Parts: sequence; C-alpha cells; structure tokens
Amino acid sequence: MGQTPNNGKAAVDTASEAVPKDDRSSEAMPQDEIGRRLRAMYAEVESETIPADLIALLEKLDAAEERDGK
Amino acid sequence: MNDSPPTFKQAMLAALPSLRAFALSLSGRPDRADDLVQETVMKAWAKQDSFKLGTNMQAWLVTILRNTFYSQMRKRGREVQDTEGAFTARLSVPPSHDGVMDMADFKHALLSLPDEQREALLLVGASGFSYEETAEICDCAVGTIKSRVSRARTKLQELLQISGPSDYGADPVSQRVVSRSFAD
Repeated sequence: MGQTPNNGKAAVDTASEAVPKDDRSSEAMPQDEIGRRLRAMYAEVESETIPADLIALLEKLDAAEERDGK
Repeated sequence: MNDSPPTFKQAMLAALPSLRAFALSLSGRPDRADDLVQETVMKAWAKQDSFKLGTNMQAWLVTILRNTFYSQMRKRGREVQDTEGAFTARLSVPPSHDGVMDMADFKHALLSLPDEQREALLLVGASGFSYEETAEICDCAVGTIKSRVSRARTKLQELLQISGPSDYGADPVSQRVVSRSFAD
C-alpha cells in the first residue's frame, strides 16, 4: 500500500507561510497548522463575555474581604 | 483607566479569558470547565497572600486549575475515562472534505490525546507559556514537556491528515475521499 508522506493537501503551507505572531506567542509556540488551530480554539472562548456568575463570584469574594477589613 | 498598578481582583479578571480557554480545552466539557474555573478562583482568592502581584498571575492560576483538574479526575476515576471514550469514538467519522478537519474534529482529536500531552500542548501552543514555564506549571522536567508536546503534535498531525490507505485500517469511505482528492 503506497503511503504518501504528506498527501499534498493538508498542512503543506506551514513552514513557508508567514504567520503573524500574536501577543502571547513564545518561541515554543508552533507557527503552523496545529498552532493556528490551537489559537483559533482559544480565540473562540476568549471572545466570549465572562459568565455573569463568575464575575459575581469575584465580586462576592472581594466584598467579603472588605467586610472583614483586610 | 487609572495609573495605579492592578489590584489582585483586576489582575485575576484580566487572566480569566485565557484561563477559561485552557479549562475548556483541557476538560473538553463546558460544565466541567466552568466548575474548574470557579474552584480555581476561590482557591486563588483564599491564598492570594502567597501570590506576589506583578509576577505571572496567568501561570499561577493555571497551575491551580490543572492541579484541581487532576485531583477531580482521581476522584471521578472511571467516569471520566468513559467520557473520553465517547469522544474518541467520534474520530471514526471520516473528514468532511479533502481530508481537512474542521474545528470540531480538531477538538475531538485533541481530546483523544493523553491528558498530559494535551495539557503540555495547550500550555505551550495556545496559552503561550515557554517550555520552562510549562515545566514549572506541570511540576516536571523541561525535557518531559518537550517530549509530550512532540508526541501530541505527531499524533495530531496523523489524525489531521488521515492519509489512507493508512496503517489505521482506513474504511472504504475515507479511501474514496482520498482517491477523489488525488484525482484533482
């Protein structure tokens, strides 16, 4: 069964294509197909507004602290 | 915007989007991710005296979160393994077009990785930590992190390409898909 090393379609443009570095990129961050997908996945979540109950939790913790006079 | 340095609460708020992204990508489940983030916020708040403002809040929070994740896993045990089995089964569906996976397939491929590999890949490749920072977060050697990231990437590349006829015993449907793309 012949197996092409890289079927010629997917993930080929990786090395040659210039990928703009975002603010959080480190030298370890892969600048290729996988790296792009990972960051796109994060961007999905990061573009959401923070859930109200999470904000409320922080506010509650903060308020409790002020009450205790820390 | 004021000039004074951010308070602990402000610093934590700023870190939440990335923390949520990590929690969801690591656990694969929105409800579990939300729970993890909430627990992390509470734990972090309780031990804020151990955190030095101006140092790496993101790394500190992520460390608390992943430790919480693993201790929850130890408690839940079998239940979590079954969940991941359901995710892995999804991978038998051939890619929709030309062997290119969509985001849903990518997520499922990610979830099929062992936790430590997925975690390392996320921290380095998405959260933007260095290998050294990631090693500290995961409490292991830098070499271990590099090896986990490498294995994770290799596995994902295999799953993303799904060249078939492959060693994985490609089914007739994916073979037809690949044949079509070769004919172009």
